[in-house]
Parts: sequence; structure tokens; C-alpha cells
Amino acid sequence: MKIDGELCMSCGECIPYCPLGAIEMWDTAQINQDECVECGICIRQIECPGEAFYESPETMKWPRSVRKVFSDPTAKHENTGVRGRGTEEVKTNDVTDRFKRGYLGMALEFGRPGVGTRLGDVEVITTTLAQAGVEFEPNNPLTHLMEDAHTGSIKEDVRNEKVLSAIVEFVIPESQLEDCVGKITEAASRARCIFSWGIVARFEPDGSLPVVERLAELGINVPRNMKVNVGLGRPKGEDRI
Amino acid sequence: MTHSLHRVGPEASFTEDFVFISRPAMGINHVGCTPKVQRTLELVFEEGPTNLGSLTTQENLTLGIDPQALIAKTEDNSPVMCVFHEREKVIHVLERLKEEEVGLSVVVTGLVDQVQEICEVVGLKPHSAGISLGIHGATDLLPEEDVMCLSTMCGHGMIAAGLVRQVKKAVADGRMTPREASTVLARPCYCGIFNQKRAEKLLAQK
Repeated sequence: MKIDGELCMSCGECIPYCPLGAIEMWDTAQINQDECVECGICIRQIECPGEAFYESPETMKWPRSVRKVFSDPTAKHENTGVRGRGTEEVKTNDVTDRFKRGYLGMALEFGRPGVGTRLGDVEVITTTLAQAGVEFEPNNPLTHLMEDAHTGSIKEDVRNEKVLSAIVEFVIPESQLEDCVGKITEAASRARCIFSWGIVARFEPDGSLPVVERLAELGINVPRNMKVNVGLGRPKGEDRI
Repeated sequence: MTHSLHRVGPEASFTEDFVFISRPAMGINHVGCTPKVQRTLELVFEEGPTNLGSLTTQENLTLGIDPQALIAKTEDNSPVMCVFHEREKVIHVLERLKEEEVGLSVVVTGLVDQVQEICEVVGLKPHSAGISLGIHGATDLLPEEDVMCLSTMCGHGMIAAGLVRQVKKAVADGRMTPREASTVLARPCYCGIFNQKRAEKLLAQK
């Protein structure tokens, strides 16, 4: 996104609205193009008195185009062929049965909350996981930006692109929880970016979630605020497969 | 997609916060499901959500939504995304969805004990859970926690830390009420899961 300096009235009203703080005030307001993730909130939300915001044609040119599709929730993944920043994860698990009993889903959302990430910075985790034999979710748009999903390396031409959010998704057998948590925790200590980490687990027939106790034994006390699939989807995945 | 799992804040602030998302599973039951999405929206609107959004029309309840217009624009892949602050309303919507066998998947994000109790009342067996393991990595880059309590209520990170700081200061200076401030913060969130009632309470705290 850009600001037309001829139209900007230097009122500064727009500055607080940018999720990444990329709008700066010089003689007029300007957007730091290296920090802008093309989320579009400025052009949609700010009532600019000079109507100075505009989307330049470069926004949709490769590789800058990945910024918009990984940051603007109204945009589609035309470059990667996948819609959205991640998959349906737990939302439709009652129908997809993607995370079966005995397995755990993992989702590491880089850049959130409110910091953003260079796509190359996720390699600290993806290369570690790839070495451990993790297979990344094929329907996740970030997997499409890997040079080689077996190494977890990110394509050279997008490495420096900054995005609001990029999600690493994969499934592990429950037995690998402790090992996987150990590897991610160690790699996180070397990270130059942040990530919000989530797990998807099946409820046991008695309504319990044994993974919570196992995480506590690893020193991770999870919050009680959870995203619960209440089991209303039909056909049920277990019946369908 | 939506970031309801990683909302930041003290546990007590979630007792009146139920994010409700319903959608079909793409490639499995999405073809021809528009009437099911529309019915879900009708039931949600009948109860009256605290907030509701649409990425398709780029609207939320704060900006103003015409329910009939939104329902008319529904497509097979449209999700229903909203938030309630009243437990009873969640129960009523789930009861109707179950009774009418609508068949779309539904997730409710909230304190797990409360959500499980709601499921028990409705007669549902919770299937699976998304569990947050927190924020990791270079956490020194993060905004202040009291800012994140508000900014993380948008599922797509559209509420800027700078905007939160601005309205918090306006409230502290007496230039804005908590309600007015929560309305300002709700506007950029098109996914519609920004809970204005929760925000008002957080903003009213000194």
C-alpha cells in the first residue's frame, strides 16, 4: 500500500491503524514499504480526508504478492493455489477426521500476534522439524512456498517478504509429543520471530483430554480457553471412512 | 484461519466470551450447503450475537449488517463467524442446529469447562479441541499484555496495537467511554469475533 504525498494532508490520523506500525510521518505520511505487509486495513478502514491511500500495481507482482495473500483476510491465494492462511484444522475435524485418535495436530502461527514475520525466519522451526521427519500439511499455503518440503527450506525469492501470519501445520503420532515439544522449544530459543503454538487433540470417550496432563509434565500449563469442535458436523468422519 | 484460540487475557475475562464458528468441510460436504449456512445464520441472528462478521461483504455488526442481505450473499464455502457473551444464547443456537440436523461443523471457543457444560445441556459429545500452547520465540517483540488482551480479539490480527493504545489513553483521559472505545476497536475486525462486551470490561479496568 502507498500514500500519495500530493494528496496527504499530514493530519497523522492514519498512523495508529496499521497493525505493524508501518505508517511513518515525515513531511507527509508515508508507508515503510519494507515493513508493510499489504494487509489493506489502511485503505479499508481509515477515513483519509485526502483519500491519499492507494494500492500500487507492484502489490500483486511476485514475490511481493505473497505479502497480501498471507496478510489480507479478504485476499485469495492465487499464487499458492490455496485459500486462507491455514486449513480448516479443528473446525471441521468431526467431518474430515484429519486428526484421528492417537494423533495430534500441530499449528505454529508465525508473526501473530501483532509482530509479523519474514518468511525466511520460519526456517528455524521448519528445518528442525523436517530433520525430525515431520511431513508438512500439503494443503497449507506455506508448504507451497517451501523449496523442498523434505528439508523445510523456504524459496529464496520469498525469504525476505514480510507477512502478518504464516502457519506451519503437521500431524504427529501422540507418542512423539514429548520429542516434538522438545525440538520446537529448543528451536524457538534461536528464533528471531514469534509464533503462537496450538495443538489439536481428540476428546476421549469420557470427555477428558489426556494431552493436557502430558503437557503439564513438560512444564507447559495450557490456558483453559479452548476451541471445541462440538461434533455437529455430518457425515461424521468416522462413519464416512 | 480465525485466531480465537490465542486470545490473550486473564481467565476470568473469558467467562462471557463464546466465539462461534460454523462451516462446511471443503471437498466433503460443502457442495449445495448454502441453505444450511443460511439457516445457521438465521438461527444466530434470531438469538442476537454480540458481534458477527463477513469477509465476503467486509462488514461486521458494528459497521452495520443487514441480515437478509448477508444471508442472500451466502455461498457454499461461506463460514458463519460470530461471538456471544451470553451462555444461554449459545445453548439455544446449538439446540436448534441439533434439532434441525443442519449438519455443518461448529466450534465454540471459550473456557473448556463452560463449553463442555453447554454441550452436556444440549446433549452433544465434544469431538476435538484446539489447545493453545502460548506464544514462543522472540517474545520481547510483543506488544504489552494489556494491549494484546484487546488486539488478539480479531481473528485476523487487524486491530493495531497503536489503535488500542490510543483508545486506552482516550478512556483514561475521560475523552472516550469504554463503550465508545470498544466500538472503535471493533470496526477493523471483519471476522466479527471481536467481543465488544468483553472489551468494554477490559477498557473500564484501571
